[in-house]
Amino acid sequence: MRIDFGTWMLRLFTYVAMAFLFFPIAITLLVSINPNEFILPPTGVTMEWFRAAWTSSKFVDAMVVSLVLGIVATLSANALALLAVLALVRYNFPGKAFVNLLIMSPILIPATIFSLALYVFLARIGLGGSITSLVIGHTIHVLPFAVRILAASLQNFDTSLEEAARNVGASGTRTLFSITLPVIKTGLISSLTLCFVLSWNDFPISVFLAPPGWTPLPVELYSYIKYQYDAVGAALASSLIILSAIAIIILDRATGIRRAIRGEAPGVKS
Amino acid sequence: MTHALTQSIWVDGVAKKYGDVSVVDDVSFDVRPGEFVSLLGPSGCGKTTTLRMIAGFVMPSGGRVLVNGADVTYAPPDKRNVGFVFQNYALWPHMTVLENITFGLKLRGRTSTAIRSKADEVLGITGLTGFEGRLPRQLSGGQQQRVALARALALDPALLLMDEPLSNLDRALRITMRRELKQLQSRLNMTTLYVTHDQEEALSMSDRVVIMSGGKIARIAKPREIYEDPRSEFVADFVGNTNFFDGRVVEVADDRAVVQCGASLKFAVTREDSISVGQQVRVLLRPERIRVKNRPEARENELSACIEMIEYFGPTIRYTAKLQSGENLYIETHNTSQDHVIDDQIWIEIEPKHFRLLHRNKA
Repeated sequence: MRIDFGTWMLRLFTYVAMAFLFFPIAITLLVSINPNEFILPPTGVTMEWFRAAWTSSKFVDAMVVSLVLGIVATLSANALALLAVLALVRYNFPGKAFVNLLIMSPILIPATIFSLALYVFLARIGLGGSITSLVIGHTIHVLPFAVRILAASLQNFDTSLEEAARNVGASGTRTLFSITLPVIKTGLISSLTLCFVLSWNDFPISVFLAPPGWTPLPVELYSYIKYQYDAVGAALASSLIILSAIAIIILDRATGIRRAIRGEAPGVKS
Repeated sequence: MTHALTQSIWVDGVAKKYGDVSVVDDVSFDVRPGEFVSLLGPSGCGKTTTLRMIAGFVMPSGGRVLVNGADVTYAPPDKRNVGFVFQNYALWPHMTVLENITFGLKLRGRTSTAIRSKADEVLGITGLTGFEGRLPRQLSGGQQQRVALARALALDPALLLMDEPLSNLDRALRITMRRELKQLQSRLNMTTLYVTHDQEEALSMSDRVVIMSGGKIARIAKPREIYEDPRSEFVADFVGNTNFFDGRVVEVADDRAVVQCGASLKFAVTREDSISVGQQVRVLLRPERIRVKNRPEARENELSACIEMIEYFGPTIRYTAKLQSGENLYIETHNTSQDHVIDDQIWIEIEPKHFRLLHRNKA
């Protein structure tokens, strides 16, 4: 079989690009299991750095902060997104395009600028760096992704399913919880997972808004590696990577990752 | 049940506008207890919107909807106790057949034994026993349709609304289900309002048919009256095929009138009271009312014609024939041994009582 030059070049380019993306991750993972700090190639395998990272109360606390923050921000963003999407998908109202743009704007504005602006604004209204500010920041940050995914689910949703429920005597709220949400379940799972991963990995918002004593993991990790050069930081980074990877695998299993990112309807049958 | 009431549904001057567009305009009709009424019309005539207003899915812009005497015009759909069968069935995909059927009963807080016995009853009625544990996607179209019906019947609704429930089935199944549905409706004495664009369905199932066109009611009558005496060009054209001739009344006798429809075409028709000489009329003639024969017998309304087209349907055959006077005529005959070919010269005869006259304004 003859494969022409162009095809070979395309393949080469693809592999190089992928290697370029994966190289830092691979190095991080290698360093975190290497008994000899920062000497490559690794001479053996150790879990010592992971043990050190996971027994450090500072890191465990930060992980708990990230976990709680991620869950709270994800749930509030999705609750808001669901309401917004019900209005955006089902009704026409003046200024609809503007509202849509407003919700999507956190994606369009560079994260650092957005974080700074939010910090200044929250400081003005007396919140400053606080747990509330952090939750608000993360909620706004993940909201557009939730809106995107839920809108796709609801666009393909057959509203006669809801009418049928109302017809047999279900109230509007009952219909939402017994019919609408279960039917768009896969979309909802995608949205929750993606939002959590985005919050879990966020650095710029947390740096600006985290109050003292309530530091999310990425910020904690940053301040650690700024002053200390050892493989504990790499082990912690690896932990973050692995947890994100697990979440992404769940997301993929639930819906197909490409469809989730493109915002196509996950799992809604016509 | 309310015995004294003579109307299960009373739709009183109902209207629906979207902006400036009037979808339903001053529609009034009723459905009596135990009656099967169809809303028949072409797509976009407002029949489904009317049905959805009765179910409460669409708020009317005007008029009233009464169900068993109670004004439900602005009541939410969950407070109306009317069953609804959707065109696409609208079965909840995450629930089994049994869960679909019992959802409404559970909402009403019935005991589990009451729910189970009611479920068994409607599963039996609709022939779904044994399918309780299936999910909707594991069922055929016909079975899904039965589940949709069972779900509605489980709640003993005051009346049943159906929105083209058979239109997604293939022809053979549609006819079987049509018969089953009608038998079931008669057996349960279920007051039913049925939306369809299929005239065969409407004529064969209904006690009365409401024909709609452009958001208004064109005619309310029994199926036979609608077909035999359409009373308007729209109804005549929409229900079955009709031959139309424009003409002028030239003669009125005791029981006969003569209509001149062109220089050399005259029909003797049974006289109607409102007929007078000089009136402009449109003559309607159903294709199956025309008798075809091979030779003239010197009878009234006897004409010669030439066959131009033959459509073979099996039990019936439709001829398109050209009259000597130039007009085209549809003729439908039973498939008998008598066979015609294109360009055959035939004779036709029409009994005067088979014509229907519509008055025309002298425009």
